[in-house]
This record gives sequence, structure tokens and C-alpha cells, in this order.
Amino acid sequence: MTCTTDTHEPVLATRSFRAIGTTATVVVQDPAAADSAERMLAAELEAFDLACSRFREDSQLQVVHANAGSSVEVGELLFEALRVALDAAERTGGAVDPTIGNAIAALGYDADLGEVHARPPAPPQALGAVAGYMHVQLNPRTRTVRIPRGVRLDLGSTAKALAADRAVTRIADGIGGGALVSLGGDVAVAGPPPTGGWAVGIARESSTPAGMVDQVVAIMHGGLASSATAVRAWKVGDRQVHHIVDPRTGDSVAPYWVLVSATGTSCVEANIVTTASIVWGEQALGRLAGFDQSVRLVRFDGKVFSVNGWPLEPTT
Amino acid sequence: MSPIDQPNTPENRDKARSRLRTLTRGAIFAATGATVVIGVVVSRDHPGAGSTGKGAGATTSGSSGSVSTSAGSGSSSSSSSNTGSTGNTGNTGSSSSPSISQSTPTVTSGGSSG
Repeated sequence: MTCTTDTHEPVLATRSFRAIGTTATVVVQDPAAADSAERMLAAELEAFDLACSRFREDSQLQVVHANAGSSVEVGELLFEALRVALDAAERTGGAVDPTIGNAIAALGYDADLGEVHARPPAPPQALGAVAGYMHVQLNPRTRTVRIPRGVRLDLGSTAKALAADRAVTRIADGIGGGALVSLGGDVAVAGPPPTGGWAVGIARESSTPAGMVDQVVAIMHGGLASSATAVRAWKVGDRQVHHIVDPRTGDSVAPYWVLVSATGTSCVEANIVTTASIVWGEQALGRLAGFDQSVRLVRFDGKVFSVNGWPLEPTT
Repeated sequence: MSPIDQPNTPENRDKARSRLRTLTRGAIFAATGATVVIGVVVSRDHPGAGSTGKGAGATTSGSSGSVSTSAGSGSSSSSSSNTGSTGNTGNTGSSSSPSISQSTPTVTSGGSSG
């Protein structure tokens, strides 16, 4: 679809399409491999949607919900997504918790965001602390999961990043070259990078045109993710809420950070930090000391913070 | 030396309180020094910042002892951390730290509105 033509930059082939409620993009260095890469990405995302979607009635996740209170055997993909989600919850002290399914639905996010936006603002519902990830039981031997009765899961935070990681690895292996996958701005790369690395723009919205981003950084491997509070938002009553829920309250997080971006050895690693930082709010700078990842945080007043070596633009 | 060698005036009481505040900040910094070593925090105004972010005077911000200060105004402000590193130099980078790129971005990472 798009080729970069600057003689000083590598020629890259890009394919974009809609999937799992966001924009999916794959970039490869070999234009002849672009179609194949797009097909592989589409197949991977369809598999993820069927396994993990809380909006599809035919997803495996809905089977788990329907059998809450009992152990349910699930496929490898959903089991992996659950394992990653619980690991993220444990490492963030519960800031990134998959048991927010009921909470985010109570806030009105119970369908694709396009449907949510098309509806009139819903009246506010009673909110409260979520059940907690520690009540989700995984058994790797039997590949079963058991959730408490009445609990619903939302794997959105980590599942999208996991999908990017899995897809880009599969694509790079399949085409025998370097590849980048972006799912709504959650980026994973694999294989040999272009000269100078994969250039990624940083902006409050992933739809921001290349010439209008706040910063351009290059990554050579792993992943880069961003979380924001100003987008993926909707109205509840007369107040605006967004998609990142504080598990302690069941409510949309008060937006102390408007944008958090991070790198990691994978997109999952990056995503865990960005989502948790939004939830941690003012405490994030201290908490991030426990993570070996570069992070850029933009506060509500526009001040930018850099942690663990995220580069700031040179001063002039 | 006598522990009390200053007259007990309001001015001297204020000076003593000021010294105590300085010592307390030093103790907090010492207690959280590991945080600073692991994760140096620097800050600067966002290029697309709102009205409060630009043109502000000296600002101090911090969390859990990782205090960073940003003096001056707008995008030309210099930044420094309490470990002495400034701007984007001297940071404790991680193995996956990104670098500034002059290339046209292939994709943009930010919030996803759907």
C-alpha cells in the first residue's frame, strides 16, 4: 500500500486493514513478501479473535464465562493469553487485571467501540472493585481454566500485544526477513531490522500522520507500546470515561498520564508497563524503577518524563 | 560546642526549620537512592503541551524521591535529574532503549481510538 521513497531510507512495504476492533499493519522490507505477510497477520488475528474476544458469542472466552465456577478446557491460544494476562497482573501488583470484564461492561464498553459511540450516553451504573486475578485458576497440565461465578474477563490489554508478538514472529519466519506488526499502535518487530532500525512515531493517537508526531524513535528488536487516556473514550451520563480501568475501583482511571509509551523485549513487556503506568498514576515514576524498560510519560499538563533511558529530543 | 549557640529568635527558628526540611529531603533521597540508580527520570515540556505546560517557570516534580526538575520554558528547557545527568545523556538505559530517529516513521504508536 505504502512505500517509503526517500533515497536515504530503506524501501518498506506496508499493508493495513481493520481487525480485532483496531487498525492492523504489517511492514516488511521485501515488497514481494507483503501480500504473504498480510495473509499471515490476518490469519493470526482471526485466531485471536475467536479465542479471546469478549464481544463474539462464539469465542472460547465466552465458553469460559458460560461455565464460570467450573474448570473448562481451552485451546492453546486462549490458555497462552490467559497465562500472559495473569503474569502481567502478578508483576504489576494487580494494576493490569484481566477480571475487569464486568467493570468495563458496566462502564458501557460492552461492544466494539464503533457501536458504543453510536449509542446515546448510558446512565451510570454502580461500580466496585473487581474480583481479582488471583481467583483465576489455570492448570497447564490439563490446559483448563476456572473463573469464579459471576466473573468476566477482559484480555484486551495484553492479548493485543501478544497477538502482535506472535504474528510478527510467524511472519518474519515465514518470509525469511525482517517484519513489523502494529495493532493500533502496539508494535512488535522481528528478524533483521532496516538500516537505522524500525522508525516509530510517538503521538497521542496512533492515527497521527507521520509528519505530525511528537517524536520519532527507532527500535531494533522487541516491541514498543503506548497507552493513552484521551482516546478509546466514550460518555457515561455526563462524564467521559476511557478503556483503562482501575481494578481497585472498577472505574475508568483518572487521567494523570495522557500518554505512556514504553519499549520492551516484546510488545507484551512494553504493554504491561504502559497500561500499569496509567493505572498507577502519580506513583508510576517510582514503581517503574522495578522494570528494566525505557518509558516516556506525558503528564496531564504536557510535561514529558523519561525513565530508564528513553531519549528526549536534544535541547536547542 | 554548645548545642545552643544562637539566640531563640523567630528568624533563627525559621532558619532551623529550613535546615530540618533540607535534611529531611536528603534522608528521603538517601532512602530511595536505589530508585534513582535504576531508573533515572528526566522531564521536559511536551511539544504539543497544553497551556500549562508551556512558558511555565521553574518547575519541580517528582515521585518517590526520583525528583526531576525542569527550569526554563517551552521545548527549549533543559532538564536535569538529581543524579546530575541532564537532558537525554547520562541516563541508565535498558537493553531495549530506543534511539532518536531522523527517518520517516513507519507506523505511529499512541492511543488507539478504534
